[in-house]
Amino acid sequence: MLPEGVVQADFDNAIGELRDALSPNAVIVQDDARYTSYTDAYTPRQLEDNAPSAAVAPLDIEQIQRVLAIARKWKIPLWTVSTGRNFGYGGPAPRKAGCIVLDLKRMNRIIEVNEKHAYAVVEPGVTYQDLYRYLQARDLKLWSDPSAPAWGGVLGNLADRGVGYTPYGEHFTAQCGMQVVLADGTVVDTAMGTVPQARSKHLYKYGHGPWVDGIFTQSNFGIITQIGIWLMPEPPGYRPYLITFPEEDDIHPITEITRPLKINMLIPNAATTVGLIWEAAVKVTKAQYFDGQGVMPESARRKIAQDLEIGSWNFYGALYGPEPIMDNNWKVIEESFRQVKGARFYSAADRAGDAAFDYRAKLMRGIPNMTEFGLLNWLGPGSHIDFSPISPVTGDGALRQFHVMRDLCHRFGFDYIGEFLVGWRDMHHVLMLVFDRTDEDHKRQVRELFTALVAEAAREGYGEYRTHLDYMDAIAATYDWNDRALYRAHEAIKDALDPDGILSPGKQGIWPGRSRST
Amino acid sequence: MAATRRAFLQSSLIVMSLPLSAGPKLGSFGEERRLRVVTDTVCDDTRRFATMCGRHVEAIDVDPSRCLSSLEDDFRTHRIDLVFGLSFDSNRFLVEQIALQYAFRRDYLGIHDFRSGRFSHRLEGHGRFVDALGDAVETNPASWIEAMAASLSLLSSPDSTEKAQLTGVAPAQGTGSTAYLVSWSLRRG
Repeated sequence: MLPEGVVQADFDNAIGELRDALSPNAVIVQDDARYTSYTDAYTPRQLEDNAPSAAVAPLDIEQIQRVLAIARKWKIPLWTVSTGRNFGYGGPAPRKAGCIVLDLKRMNRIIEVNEKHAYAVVEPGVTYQDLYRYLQARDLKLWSDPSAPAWGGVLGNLADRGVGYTPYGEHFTAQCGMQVVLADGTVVDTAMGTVPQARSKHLYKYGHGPWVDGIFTQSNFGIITQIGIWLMPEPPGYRPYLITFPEEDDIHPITEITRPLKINMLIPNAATTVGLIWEAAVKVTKAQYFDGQGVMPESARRKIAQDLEIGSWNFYGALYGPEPIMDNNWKVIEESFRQVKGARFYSAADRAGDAAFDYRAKLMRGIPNMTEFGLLNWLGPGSHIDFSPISPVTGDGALRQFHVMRDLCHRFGFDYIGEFLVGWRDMHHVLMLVFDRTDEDHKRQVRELFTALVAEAAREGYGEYRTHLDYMDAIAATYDWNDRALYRAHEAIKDALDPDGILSPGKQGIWPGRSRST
Repeated sequence: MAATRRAFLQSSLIVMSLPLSAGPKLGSFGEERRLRVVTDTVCDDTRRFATMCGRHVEAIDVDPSRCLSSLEDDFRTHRIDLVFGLSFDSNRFLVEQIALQYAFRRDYLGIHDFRSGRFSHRLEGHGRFVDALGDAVETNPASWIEAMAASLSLLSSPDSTEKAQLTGVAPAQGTGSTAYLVSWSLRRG
């Protein structure tokens, strides 16, 4: 496996120079036992389709600069990852086979936590678990906002515009201050950070002049090496709750009720409306309820709902603050959702010992955990890729999107396993496509389903907020208004900042000039 | 509500330290090879296996975070050379992804598929272990857990002879909560 257009001798020279520039142990080649950790273990295709030629793991910015110089010299593309754990979207593997993975997980310093102003500054290798432990060990009254898996990287998740579940759930909104290394090795501090002896680097986002932080997210214009992120002060009170709804079409009234509550901040957090199977799969497997092939029948779904006391939809939210405020907000929330026939309300005490409630309650108060991986046991040897369109917070929009996605899933023989996360004015509809990775037919079917989902969503006017490696081009192609004006702008920036095209080619469908026709 | 199932899921997440006499003579093997055995706490089969193995057992709860952190500490500090697991596939995946970073390789994988009250076993990898376990399972299918525990010492050294074996269908014992278990070993180097 070599990078495209690179001959073996040049590749060997580059590997030798990387070893000299960093250390032999920091360069992982294909016969190294560690190499497999840089492949896409959940791929719906074959491992080789996105396999890297090698990986290199610098310890600091100076080492990154050395790596960049060698990559420019030998025209070898790098694929940057922070912790590389985002397996629903491709894990650490590169978009294009043959890239060298630039693995930043050894850069794992928590540079600063400021309790007074409630922010942290971290390097790419810091996980949510690391940050949580740091805060706990020092008894700091601050919460981070983890992604569902604790091993996710704080910086990497933010840079990929991931979401969490506390009131700080939209991670990029909480970003303030960024350090980036450009392809030519220049180190850039953005916004206030570029003022000598900056005193407000992580307090005010924008600085003076154009605000560029956003162009380094979901992109390949530079390597983010440090990020400031606002943390949530620990509130005086916390009450998670669950409301279950019996019917699939209840997503309409749930969403209509949620919108004003969210916009007016009576629901302060990134509340989640979870479909039945996503909710159940943490606790039971499909084979316990259905031994046949294909989509689970309605009778089995009803049995699961009855056994586990869950709904077709399960709304997880939380109250934060002093007791009187929580009491008052709860009255409004309860009265609002009680309008939906069959709604049932649960507190933490009601669901004591419930694994699904427990992990949601942890996430909504910033405690990282790994429970959600358990739902891949739904199918035994389960893997997943995620399809994630954005929905308006309207009943009609959510219901329509749900019907379209569910019906397509069923047409291809897949159960609908999805959830809606409400943001400030949108919902992230995350559809988890769980497939049997030992079954080549099932892998083919999930690829076909995904392709159909992209096309159908585009026809309906929906775009995806993020995607798996294999579908970055397909989804980029749907952002095509005015003869791809947006992507032509992306390409102009790419050419200006990375003329050799060495940084993460193909990331989010942005290719360097020499690869644009492929 | 599924109270029994929920009770399983809430089994405490602890490192089980049982007396050596409770196990199948794993003690010296475990000490010498710096072995760690990983099991889920959620079904009878995995818990029975944990009991058979005595100490060196790391139990994975419904939230595997603590177990994974503990294992990673041991990988990083070279306290473990070999990990053997009987678990859900999701937990195998998590442990393996961490172990790979520390130059471990998988040298055995067994799939134990439970459907309609019966298990089938597909074993692949480490030749001596697969032969021994496969033969034992065919001879006495009801005791596959015991056979697996008794065969662990065969993993004390690598065996590059790759074997694959698919056994007949075996009656399951005591399982009602899972459909699909995997056994696996990861070896440093």
